[in-house]
Amino acid sequence: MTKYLTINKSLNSKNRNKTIKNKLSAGPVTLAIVTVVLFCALGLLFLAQVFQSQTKSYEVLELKQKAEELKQDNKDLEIKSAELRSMDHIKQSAKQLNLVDTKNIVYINKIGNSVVVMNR
Amino acid sequence: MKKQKNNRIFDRLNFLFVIIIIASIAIVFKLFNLQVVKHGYYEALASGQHSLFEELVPERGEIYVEDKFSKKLYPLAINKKMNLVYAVPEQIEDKNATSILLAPLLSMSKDEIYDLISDEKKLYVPIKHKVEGDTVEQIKNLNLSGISYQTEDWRYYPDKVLGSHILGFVGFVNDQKKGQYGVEGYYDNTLSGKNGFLQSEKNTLGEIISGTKNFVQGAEDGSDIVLTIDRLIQDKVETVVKDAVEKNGAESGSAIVMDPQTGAIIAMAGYPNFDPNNYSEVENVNVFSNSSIYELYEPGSAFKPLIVSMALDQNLISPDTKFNDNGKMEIDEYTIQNFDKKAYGDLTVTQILEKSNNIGMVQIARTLGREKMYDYMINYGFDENSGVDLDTEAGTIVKKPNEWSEMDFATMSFGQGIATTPLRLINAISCVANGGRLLKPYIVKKIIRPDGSEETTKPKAVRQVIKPETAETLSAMMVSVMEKGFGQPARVEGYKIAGKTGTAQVPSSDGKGYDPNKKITTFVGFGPIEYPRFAILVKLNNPGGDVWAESTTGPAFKAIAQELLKYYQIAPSN
Repeated sequence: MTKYLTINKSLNSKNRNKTIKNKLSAGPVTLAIVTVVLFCALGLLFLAQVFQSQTKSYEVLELKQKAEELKQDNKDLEIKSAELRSMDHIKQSAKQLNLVDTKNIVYINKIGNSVVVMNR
Repeated sequence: MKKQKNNRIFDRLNFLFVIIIIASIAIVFKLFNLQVVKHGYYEALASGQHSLFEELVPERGEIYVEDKFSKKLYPLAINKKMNLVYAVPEQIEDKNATSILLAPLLSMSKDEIYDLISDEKKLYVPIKHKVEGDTVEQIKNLNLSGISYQTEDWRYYPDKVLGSHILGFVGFVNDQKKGQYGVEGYYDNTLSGKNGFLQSEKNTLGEIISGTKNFVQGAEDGSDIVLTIDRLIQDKVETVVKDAVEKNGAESGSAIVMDPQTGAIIAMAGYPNFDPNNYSEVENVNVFSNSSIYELYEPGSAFKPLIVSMALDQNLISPDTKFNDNGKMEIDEYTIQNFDKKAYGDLTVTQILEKSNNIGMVQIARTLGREKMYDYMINYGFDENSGVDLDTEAGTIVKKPNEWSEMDFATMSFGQGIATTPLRLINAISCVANGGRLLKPYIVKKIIRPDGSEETTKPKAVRQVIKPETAETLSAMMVSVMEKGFGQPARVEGYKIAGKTGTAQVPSSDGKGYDPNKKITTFVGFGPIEYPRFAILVKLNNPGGDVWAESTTGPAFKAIAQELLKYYQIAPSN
């Protein structure tokens, strides 16, 4: 490659050269190097993306596992709730709270839209 | 000289070159052999190391009941993760100490555990299944060497014995989970869902490598089922049956509560029953059978209202038609008598039912004729399965009328010589309650698919058996049985309930006649008569002593009827 820019070390202004622009020419070796570098860069970029997606995938997997654990916790609570509402548990609780069976049931007839009960 | 030297150098180079060529050919040949010829073999070998193929197991559908008032669902059968505690015997340092520490936590004896973990020839010994999570945490805190655990999926029934005959259980058949008996058995395919699979690649830790090709066919979870059963009524009925069996010294007992307007089963209980959580501990497998649908028996006098309905429907008799009872009837070499060996003289048809008179019934049947009687029995469904959606319903056949002897014809009129299940009997009696329609009984209210869609069971009328007027007339006659006849112990004050007792003999095990020491008592009825909301059948097998249906099953019927009237908030008739 010929010089693109030339700076003359001379302090004499007449001798200063300044090359503004020169033709760029690349030989086969240069091309080969550039190609290799480009491919390496692309390869690195690809690898970086793959690694990133792998990392994200593992994070997604972790989140999925966490979601499964929460689902399981929810299920455990549902089971616990069912056990607390089981007939055996209700009967035990009724006993502890001294609840009794209903014995006397009174049915009241409606008169028009009102219902009145007098307890004698 | 120089030329010779050059030649020698050149020869060595050639020789080296040849060696290299040969070596290269050998390498290429080897590579060809490995990569082309044995490609399949090494691909399979590698695939086995890094391929992952996993069967995806679906979640089994759960079984619910709906609360009558809040409409919330309550689970009767759910899936629960529990743990298997196991041992690796050769890793256990102190087997004696380990046994002592584990025994109280696992509710097992120290010796039992010691025997299990002592055999060092075994690589792996399961100690106990279905261990709760908090127990496992306590075991983990002990830091015992050689003791570990793994999670397992189990079917769990939070209400234990409640509805055990209705639900059945999930057992193992050829190492596969399979529903057996009841709803678990009948709806096993609906509840099981479908397996899926996952094919992917795994790393050295066995984890799936994301980003690699994978094939997934998701598992299809099973559908959930909501039953027609009312949990509170079911519990009450189970308690009543258990008390009746124990109080009367019976071998077993059962009860059914149905909605006669729709055929929905509200409760179905049997005693003895079992805990489906521990089905493997049941010694007598006969306990698993739901006697309400599986046990065939001769219903006795509980069958009489149906015979009367047939003659009424044919306009051959009315409630006031009289027949004479002179105390005995000779047929072939047999003598038919009433249960109390008495003669009652002239009786109306209503009185025949009230007094459960056998002589009168034979005359009613003869008025009807065997052909008509057979036709009605078929129409009432005694020759076919009820179609209820529960596993292990027993089939039955009614002999053709030309195969009946005179004695068969006579005894069928009072419910002997004909076999049926309790469900078929209550289903037939329900015809009387709903204007004469035979309905298909059902126990599943709806199926909820994994996608949220629902399939609701609609009541199905199979056929019109008797006219609505006939049903109405017979209902009134059956109320008279409760108020003036043997049904009085079951009467509920203030309510008009129809009912009939039945005390039947049991065929002898040698096939000759009936066993004098055995009987089956039945009470069947429905109410309130103004608009029947429930039909009830209670049955006891071999209650002890010289007892009859009104004293054994009558009080149980009354207890259930009272509970239903209260629960449904039905005001008295008066």
